[in-house]
Amino acid sequence: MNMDMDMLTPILIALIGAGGLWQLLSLKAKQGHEALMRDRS
Amino acid sequence: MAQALGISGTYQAIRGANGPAQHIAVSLVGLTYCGMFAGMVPDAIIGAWAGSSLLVLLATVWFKKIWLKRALLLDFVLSFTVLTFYFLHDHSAPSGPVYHVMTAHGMEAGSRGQSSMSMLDMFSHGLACAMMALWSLYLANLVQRQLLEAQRFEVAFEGEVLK
Repeated sequence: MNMDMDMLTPILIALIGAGGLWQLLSLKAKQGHEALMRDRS
Repeated sequence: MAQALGISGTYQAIRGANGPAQHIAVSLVGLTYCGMFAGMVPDAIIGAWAGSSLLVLLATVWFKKIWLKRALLLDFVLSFTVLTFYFLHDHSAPSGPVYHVMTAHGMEAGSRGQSSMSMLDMFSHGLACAMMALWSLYLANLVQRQLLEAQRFEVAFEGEVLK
């Protein structure tokens, strides 16, 4: 498959955007979990 | 008699609604929507999106929660990719042969059997794809929180596996 810039640009934008969003939500979930674990102990 | 949920109750219900019905719904809607983007997004990406939607369905029924989370994440990345391809696609560009015709006003270009997308059509396509991306992200996050909760209860009950 011929991968040119027209093909790569949307893929790169999607990977960076999706990765950033997931990292943010994942971090928030982990922080909430750790706070609950600390409260318990 | 059952009372109305209200805004706060509805928000709480949505926040915790992590039943298999939602996972199957996101999978079936993904499989339905992927064909709408044919011709605007490379076929390989559309095929991959359909595959990831099918994977969510299989993971809901047969796989462990961690694999369901991974399938939902893959579905999120692919629907996000379809969304970026869709927005970067030149909607005014003809997708078929363009004919040049001599008219009373000089040479004019035209194409047969193709209707350009209206603003409403473009808006609906974009919104559908954005909704799919956000839906799978939200479900992946819900499954992750569910896994963390299960871990917390496992610690609370000293390693006892909860059913």
